[in-house]
Amino acid sequence: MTSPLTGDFDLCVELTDSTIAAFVNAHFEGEEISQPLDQLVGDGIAGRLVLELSGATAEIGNTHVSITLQFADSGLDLTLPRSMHIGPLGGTAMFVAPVTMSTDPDGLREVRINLGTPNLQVSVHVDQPGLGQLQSQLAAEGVVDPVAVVADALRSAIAAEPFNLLPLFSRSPADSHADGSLQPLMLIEGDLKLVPAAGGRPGAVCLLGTLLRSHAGQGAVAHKALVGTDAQHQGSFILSADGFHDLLHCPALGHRFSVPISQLCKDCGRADSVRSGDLTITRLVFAMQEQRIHLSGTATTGGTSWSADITFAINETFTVQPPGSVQARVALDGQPSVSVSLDWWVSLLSAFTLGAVDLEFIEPAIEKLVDTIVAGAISNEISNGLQQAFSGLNVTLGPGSMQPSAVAVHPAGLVVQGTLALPAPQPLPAVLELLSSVVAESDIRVGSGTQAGLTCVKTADGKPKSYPYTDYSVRRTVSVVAQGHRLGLPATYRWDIQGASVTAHQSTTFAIIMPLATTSDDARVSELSTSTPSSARMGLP
Amino acid sequence: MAKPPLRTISDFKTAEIEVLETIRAVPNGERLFLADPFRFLREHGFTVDATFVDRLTKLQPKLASPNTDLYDRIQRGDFKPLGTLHIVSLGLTGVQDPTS
Repeated sequence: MTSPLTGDFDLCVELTDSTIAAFVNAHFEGEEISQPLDQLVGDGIAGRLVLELSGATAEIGNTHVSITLQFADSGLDLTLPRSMHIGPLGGTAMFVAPVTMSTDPDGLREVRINLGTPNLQVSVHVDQPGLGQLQSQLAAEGVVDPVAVVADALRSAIAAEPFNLLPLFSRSPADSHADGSLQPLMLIEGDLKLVPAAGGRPGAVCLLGTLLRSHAGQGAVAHKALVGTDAQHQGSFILSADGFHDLLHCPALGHRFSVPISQLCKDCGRADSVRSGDLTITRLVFAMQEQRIHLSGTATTGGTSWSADITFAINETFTVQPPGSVQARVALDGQPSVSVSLDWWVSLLSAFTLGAVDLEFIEPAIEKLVDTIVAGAISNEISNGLQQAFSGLNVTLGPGSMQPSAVAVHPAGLVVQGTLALPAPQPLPAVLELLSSVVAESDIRVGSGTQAGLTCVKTADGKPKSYPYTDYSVRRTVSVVAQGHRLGLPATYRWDIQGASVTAHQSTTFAIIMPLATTSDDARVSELSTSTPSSARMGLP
Repeated sequence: MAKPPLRTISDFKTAEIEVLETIRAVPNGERLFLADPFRFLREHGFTVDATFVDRLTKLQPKLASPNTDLYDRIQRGDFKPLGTLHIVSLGLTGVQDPTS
């Protein structure tokens, strides 16, 4: 049966677009990108693009993820041909990033968002009034397409420090002939499928995998067309009907009856029957249906001169209770049909009370059946298997791992949806940084003389020598640039040194000429301080 | 066709197939037969000799106390069976008539 949930693979692990966005956002929000404007070097323009990232979103396409970064309070700081700040700039930058799955030589599979590719498609939108300012000021310098300059700088910045890894890991078994496993997640075949949002369902990045050699080659990526995760959850673990049957259902039965799976009756094994005490199970047919797994079976039991054929049906349902814990529940679907055959006279000779055949024969047969199949052992096995399978995903983002929170059964597969405590935005504080550099230095003669009687070096005849000397004062011109980060509002600046105002100059740059003693080079720019008006001081530590 | 009279265990063995067919043909026939076998046979066309009843009752004293109340309830439909029941034989092959 073709499964739109798993693409005929054994399993599918989904992460929704909002989860990807949170993952991307956790990486970018509050970050600052500072990138030289390399594209303009040939035009005699030098400077940096400084972007303050205020958030990120992601949208899943058929072959890519579109990541949109929001920026605000950003700008271009030019140093050539003249010192100039263009800002504040706000807007968005959208990267169309391919998503691929790579397998390392050691068998580790990783799903990557390839933001580091050289030809990464970037579209930048700059909001007004920043766009107008950017265009007019750079046009004056001969730059025709300033937005392209920003996009190019952004591409270079992202490529230099790419964010590319998603928490979708899996491995291959070390033994190339062995089956895979759910815990730890080991796949013999793996593939990747991106499903865009549609029909009220979010988009998802899907890791598809086959675990069993007997299922190899059955997966068809194109068949994965339906996202199992709803908008309230962050991702899912989906097992196909065949995957659930072979990976959880049959092993649970084998464990219950203490036999290898091959020695179970149909449809798990090849044996005609499997015994448990007085009960002989002759058939147990598995079917994944809407809201339940349905098992229909036959069994026999009996004693001296009587036998009972039992036809029964069982519903297996699932809940997440308590939160984070998947529970399977197995219950009879209706009353089993028990057909008792007996010899009349022998039954009279037994302890049975005349006429109480239901109590003496049929009820005990049903009780045996319930004890054997419906009682807790099988459901516990399946619950544990599902729980382990989910924990095997090891999808970790922010403060914790993904936890099961809802489970649903469909003919195409069993979907365990998970929730993840997404990282809360942690915006970086506003910071005013002082960048100092020595722009000029000159020596000023302040005196001269002769030092007589030096004994360290003697004259040729062995007497102390005299030396002439000149004293200089060093005059150093230091440029101090106040670089604001995330200040929010345009700032004005007032400069003072140790509390004494030195200028009313309202600029981010202040130059001071500092006479320094030749032997004392410890006058530091830290003696300078700046302050911003109260309107810009909001958010400062 | 008239059903054969049941006077001896040998008669009963001879009529076994006809008895089983009658049981199967009657709704809840198995349960009615188990609740009160001789009443069931009489109500369904068999002539059951009283001496024969005495002989079987001597072999199996439980037959002296049939479950009349259950029989009536099954007949009225005031009874919910748990499953189906088949009486595959009367099981009299090895039973010896004490008088024979």
